[in-house]
Amino acid sequence: MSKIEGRFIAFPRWFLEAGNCSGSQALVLLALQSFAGAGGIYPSYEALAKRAGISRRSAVSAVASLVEAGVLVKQSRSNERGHESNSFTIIFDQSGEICTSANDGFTSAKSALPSAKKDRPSAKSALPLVQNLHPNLERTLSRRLSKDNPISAPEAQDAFDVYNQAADQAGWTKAISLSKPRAAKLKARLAEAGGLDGWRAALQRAAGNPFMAGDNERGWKADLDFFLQQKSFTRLIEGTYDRKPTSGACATNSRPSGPHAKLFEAAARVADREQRGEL
Amino acid sequence: MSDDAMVKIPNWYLESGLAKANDAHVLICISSFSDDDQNSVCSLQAVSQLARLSAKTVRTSVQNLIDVGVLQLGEHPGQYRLIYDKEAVTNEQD
Repeated sequence: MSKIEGRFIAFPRWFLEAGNCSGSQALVLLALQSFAGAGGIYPSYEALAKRAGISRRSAVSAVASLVEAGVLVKQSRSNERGHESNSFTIIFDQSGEICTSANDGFTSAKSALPSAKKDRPSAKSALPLVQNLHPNLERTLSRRLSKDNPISAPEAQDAFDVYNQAADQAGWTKAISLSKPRAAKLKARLAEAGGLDGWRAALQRAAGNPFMAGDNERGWKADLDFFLQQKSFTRLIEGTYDRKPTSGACATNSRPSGPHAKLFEAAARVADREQRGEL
Repeated sequence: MSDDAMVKIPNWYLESGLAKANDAHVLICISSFSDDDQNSVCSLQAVSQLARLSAKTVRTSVQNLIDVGVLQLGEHPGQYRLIYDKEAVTNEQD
């Protein structure tokens, strides 16, 4: 290991194994890493594009997709003269100290979802295929598929189903398709929520909000994509969308009623457990 | 940050300006199968599935990587070695 010290560029393993990484994303991420210095990473898009051997437009697009995937954090910088080049942080370990925002894009080590372009088997399904080649492979893949892989694709499907159940009860727009981007975002939100139970509890918190069920001037209803937005979801788990007690009513004594009564009670129980630090 | 969280590839490859998107992606995938960051054992099919690239593309990229000198084939099929010492490559090409 020491033989290569200082002569390598590192690439986040979890992002590679998430299965959503494209060639241009990989190249741009490596190029960014090559700019890393003591003060951080802050190349201009021109410099980044030149280093990666791609157009500026492609670099901008790749950076945006990397930020969206949660593997890159971009921060604007400015000085007296105006805007300076952005500062970048690459998220290597979603559970590490510098990775508090990495959960935005946390995806499992192996995405078992087929590619949108071709229905190729996932790396997970490839395991039996490569097992016979070398023991190293088996060990490497097994490691990736176990401890580094807390959120699996079936969990994304489960979360999708949980949303539709909640949508049915709360009057939100139901989701029909579990697309690849949705699955990736679902995994990220699941990681933030601490798993399927957290996701369910978060949705239950919003279920009592009539605004989200279309009780607003525009008739807008919450949908899956709304909850999958990182900003919306953060607000949701912080309780911003919780049903506010109506004026004159005593919140502590009021009992929920109507078709969502059970949901309200469940949400209240969850909130209570959260307050007691059990969740 | 643990070593486990990183896949390492030679720095000089990117700085050489010879890196191409698919080639770099394939190199990362090959390196990800390594236990010591230098020697990898993996099939093209496994790389193809990890990179989500066709076998033909992977084969082409592997050849490009060998031509550039950042990758060497091992004694047995499926064995690869990443070359971190650029000087060695330059001297060999001279």
